[in-house]
Amino acid sequence: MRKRLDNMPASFAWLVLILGALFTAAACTPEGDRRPDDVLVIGQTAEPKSLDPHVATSLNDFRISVNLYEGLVRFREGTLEPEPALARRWELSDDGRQYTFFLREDVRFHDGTVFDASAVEFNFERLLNEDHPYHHTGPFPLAFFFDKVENVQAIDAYTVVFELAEPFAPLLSNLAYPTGLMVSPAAVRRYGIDYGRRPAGTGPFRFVEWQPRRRVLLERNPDYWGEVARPRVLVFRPLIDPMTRVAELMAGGIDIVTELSPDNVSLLRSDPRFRVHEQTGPHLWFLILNTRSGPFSDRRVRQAVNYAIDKRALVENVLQRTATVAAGPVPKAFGWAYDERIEPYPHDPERARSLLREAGLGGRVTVRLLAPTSGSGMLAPVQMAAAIQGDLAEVGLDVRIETYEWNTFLGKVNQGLDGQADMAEMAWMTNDPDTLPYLALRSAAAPENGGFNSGYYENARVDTLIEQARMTTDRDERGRLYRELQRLVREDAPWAFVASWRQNAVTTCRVKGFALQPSFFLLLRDVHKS
Amino acid sequence: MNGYILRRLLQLIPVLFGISLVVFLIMALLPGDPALAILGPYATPESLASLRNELGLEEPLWRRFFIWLGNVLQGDLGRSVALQRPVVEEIGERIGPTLLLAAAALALSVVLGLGAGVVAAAHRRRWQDQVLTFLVLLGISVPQFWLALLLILVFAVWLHWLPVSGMFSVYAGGGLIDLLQHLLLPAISLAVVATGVLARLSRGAMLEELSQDYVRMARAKGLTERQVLYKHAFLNMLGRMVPVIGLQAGFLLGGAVYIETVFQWPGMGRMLVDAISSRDLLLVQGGVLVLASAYVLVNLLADVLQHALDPRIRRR
Repeated sequence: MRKRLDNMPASFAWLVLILGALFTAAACTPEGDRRPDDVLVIGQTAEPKSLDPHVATSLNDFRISVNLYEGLVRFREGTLEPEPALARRWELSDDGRQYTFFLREDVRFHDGTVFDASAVEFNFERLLNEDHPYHHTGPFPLAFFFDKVENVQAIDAYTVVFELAEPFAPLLSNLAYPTGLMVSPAAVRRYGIDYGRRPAGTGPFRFVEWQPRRRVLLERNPDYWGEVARPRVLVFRPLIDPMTRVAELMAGGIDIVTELSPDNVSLLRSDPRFRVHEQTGPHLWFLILNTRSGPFSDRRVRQAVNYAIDKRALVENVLQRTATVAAGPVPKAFGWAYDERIEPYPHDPERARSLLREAGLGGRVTVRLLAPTSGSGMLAPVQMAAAIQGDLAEVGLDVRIETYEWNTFLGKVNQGLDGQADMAEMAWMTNDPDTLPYLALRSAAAPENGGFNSGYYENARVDTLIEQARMTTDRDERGRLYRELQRLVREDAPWAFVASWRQNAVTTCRVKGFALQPSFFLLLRDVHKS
Repeated sequence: MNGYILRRLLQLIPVLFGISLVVFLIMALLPGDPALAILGPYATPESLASLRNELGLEEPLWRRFFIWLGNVLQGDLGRSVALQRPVVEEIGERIGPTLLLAAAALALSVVLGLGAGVVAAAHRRRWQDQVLTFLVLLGISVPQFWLALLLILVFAVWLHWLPVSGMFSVYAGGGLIDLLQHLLLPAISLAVVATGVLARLSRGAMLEELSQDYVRMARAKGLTERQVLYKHAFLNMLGRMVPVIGLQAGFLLGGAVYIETVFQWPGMGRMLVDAISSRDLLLVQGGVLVLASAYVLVNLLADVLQHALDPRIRRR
């Protein structure tokens, strides 16, 4: 229903907007912006669900939360590497099972209460301990980020110790993720399950009001411990319809807008009144292949699929450069863990055909592909399925596409592909190179065990590498393990590696100091209008 | 008259019960797990099971229905899981904008539609009639979404006369003028089809009235054409049009989904679409129940009005 509503008018709207662009003037003079310069309006893709960062799971909510809250650590700007935030520094015990964080002593929550070790303890108890009196303020879908944490204890007012069940290297990146942001215990006690609508953190902006479907308003936190924010007011507007987002930007109603469609990005790119920002993120779009039964139980057939898909054409034509070609299971955004020498499978139909012949599949073979109609991080799932269908037909694989609504689709894929399909589209966005392999490539993560390895990939060496890497706290060593993993998985081809999403944001030309982050978060502290 | 209204109100009970049951069943039979919709792709089987339990999804269907119905009778529509707030609160905030938009569109379409119908009928087969008929056809056939985008492009993006979307300015907005500025474009987009329908039907109805004996009688008495048209024929035509207007009001109430999306109007139509796609069962059930009630009540109101306006029906 929703998809049809969105798609039907697209071509009309497109035409209308081209006309619009032709009629508008050049130079940096956005008309219609009658707001004070220190008020920034951000066009979001949806109404937020919750401003409790432990409850929220969507990027749309995180983009607000990261301006309200801080965690013990954060991603250094422009990277996915953790650096100190509310913790000044930390120490790791020799056995890798104990992290000691030394907290800043000059931090207060927006409600005036002090941020200290007991606040950290409260945050993680609420998240992880089912008997905690405020655990019912969840659910906390991403609490598993910290499932290796056995105990969080305040040693003194500003020192807190995390005891882990086993060494767990992704802990720091998980702490830098919104699930690790620190909420005010006093505010949680006061508002209970409504806390998500009355948030209080320690960040450079504080919450003013949330008028559903109209705006979320934040204001500068004058008592911020770090450099005080430049914008006085941030207004987040939910603008669900992509056409409306563009129209608002062109009419001067908003200053910054995220996630525009490829058509609109190319339209605005050539307009001097706007600036297009792009950033490839830790995202991977791939096809899960059923390695247990059917044609893809043969590695050569899986490789053939990887050779047959013209990823460059997909990225340039279907996705209009809003994604980059992916080479393996680890997205390039994880610079330290990424193997630069790994090349994407080239588009080589001849090679694909000969691999298929070798595997005894000389004639035409029919395979089933599951695709969602839309979904988080799925880019353009239906169009991409059609393009892949065309590529595979060329080498003798006839793809039957079955599309489902996103949640139905997830329900089917998460059960495992066996008996349902040979391939399924999938996309993940993660904050640590461990997450995706751990959840979706380990043999122990098969769907029967509640994991996401829906194609039943099994490789003992890969299992070992995943386990070792998450227990290794030395980053260079971890990086080496992930690089080996990438080479192995690329060769085994349990997936067809397709693309990494390049996020876009468009600002008016007056907006300065704005940069997209690889995490896709929207940090607005230093943004201003000239 | 009072007895009639009471009887009609009592008839609402089985209608609303039927609607509740149908909506409940459709939502229950839709594929897709509400617990999965909430927890998202990261959900583990344990967390899914515990949430399903918490949401009461493990109960048998008939029990779920009666538990829900029992709560509804006590004024409790439950809690929206996707929005993390009571359904009543959400609907309470959304029904106002929907009613306002529908009322504005209805007012526009009644004034313009009936006006056009009367003028066209009075100038039958002359150029006024032809121009109006052409415009009416255009109004009925122009796709709503295209018109909406065109209006935005011209009046908001090019001319900067009116805002693109929303109900109030997002910063430092508020007040009646601000509201009317935001209301104008969506109300026009929504009203176009209803205006066309009302114009066509009222032209026909007016022509029929004008062929009646009482009109000939009035003319024979020497009344001016103006008096004949507006004092006699128009009032009678209005009585006939009331149920049609009631029906149009119902369509305007429920038919604004796309308009609400493009103009970011914070009403019920958009809420329902979102709620359906996020499998927010209680919100869908509550929303449909409220909209259906509004629809039925508007039509009841139209019938009562017609009753009051038309003595011939009263006698029956």
